[in-house]
Amino acid sequence: MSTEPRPKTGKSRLLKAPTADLNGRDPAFIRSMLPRLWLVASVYFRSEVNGFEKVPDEPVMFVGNHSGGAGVPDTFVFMLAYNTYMTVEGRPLYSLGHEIVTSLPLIGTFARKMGVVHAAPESAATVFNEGGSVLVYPGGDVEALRPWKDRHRIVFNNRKGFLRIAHANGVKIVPVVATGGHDTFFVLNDGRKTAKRFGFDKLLRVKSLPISFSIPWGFLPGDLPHVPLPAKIRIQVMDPIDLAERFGDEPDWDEAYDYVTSVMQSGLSTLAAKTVLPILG
Amino acid sequence: MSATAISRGFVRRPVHEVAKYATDPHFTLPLIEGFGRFEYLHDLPERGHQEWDVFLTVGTLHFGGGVDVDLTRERHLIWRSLRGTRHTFDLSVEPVNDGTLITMEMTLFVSGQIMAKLAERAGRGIMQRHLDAAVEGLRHHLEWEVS
Repeated sequence: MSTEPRPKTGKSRLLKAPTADLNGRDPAFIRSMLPRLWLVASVYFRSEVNGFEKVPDEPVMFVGNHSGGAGVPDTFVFMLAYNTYMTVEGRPLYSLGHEIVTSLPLIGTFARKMGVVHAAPESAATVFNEGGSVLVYPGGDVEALRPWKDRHRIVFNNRKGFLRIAHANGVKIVPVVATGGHDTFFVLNDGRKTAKRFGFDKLLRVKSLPISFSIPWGFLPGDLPHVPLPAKIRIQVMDPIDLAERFGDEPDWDEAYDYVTSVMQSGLSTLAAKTVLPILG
Repeated sequence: MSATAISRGFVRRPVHEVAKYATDPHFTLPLIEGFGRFEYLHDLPERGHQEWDVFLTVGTLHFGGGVDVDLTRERHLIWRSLRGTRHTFDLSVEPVNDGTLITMEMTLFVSGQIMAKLAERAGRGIMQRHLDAAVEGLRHHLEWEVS
């Protein structure tokens, strides 16, 4: 029996995720999924992804805005675009995900094969050391379940861990903004008080339990995997940010957070201006 | 028939600094990506007025045309259309606490009845998203890129 202490898996009391296992990523599986993803991305979501030429040839931390609730369609579109631009055999991309994603049966297996690992600082460091890049969504469930009226807002909820991880590992941040993901279903309210009242924040590390409307569930507290509406998805990869260069060896994390979120908010609003009609494009 | 969109943003800089930049079309228009085409043409006979070509790129449309930019009002950048899409624009800055509130307002005039109503609804949303982007772009530049 191993006497090694079990790595921390977060504060959730109900879920115990596997530790970061980079071997879970299956290039052959990813390659087999790409045609399916392309069909869905092109025909169903009429996706556009631009800006990969800005990504430097080194491990980076992609920082995105999370949308679409449990569906996260823009994540799959981004992974499709990344794996075709960089090639499956190129620099691997690992997405840091919530314990719920990596722990569930079936969905968890699929996610791990696509390169999703449990979100923890150790996971990110392991990926960077192996020469891979990381995709994070600091907004997490709060952002993924933000009200529809805030669909063009960056909602990172003052979470700064991603900055510390990028800085500690000497990697640049590459902001990635996306629109359309939050038009695939509708969130009516904030839901943070409800989550707290039912103890979801401590039990499941879920900070938000809003009322949503989706197919086939109709109105629902929170969200379940659903059929996303065929909203047009646009993704823009932005210029890299070198935290050490801009903020020095000991950054003021509040200032760094304000800067990164300001860059992303400006980029997201600019991307949103391309929308002619919501959902349709 | 008309449709109006308004967007506001708070800039963490004093109003006199923001006004110096935000009310100058040479500074502001290049920052607004949605304004895909803009060009200073010449000064107009009326003092403090300039003629510009300003266009928003909206999918397959180019929304805008020749405008009369009025630089006479303090803390405002105002224009009205002379040619092309009939519209007005007003950017204003005012002090709020220890920062500045930027407000952008655009009004579109559409001819007709039923189709105009539909165009007006769509147009308002399009203008709103462009104004939101303009406010955020200007805010970011003033807070982080201008010394």
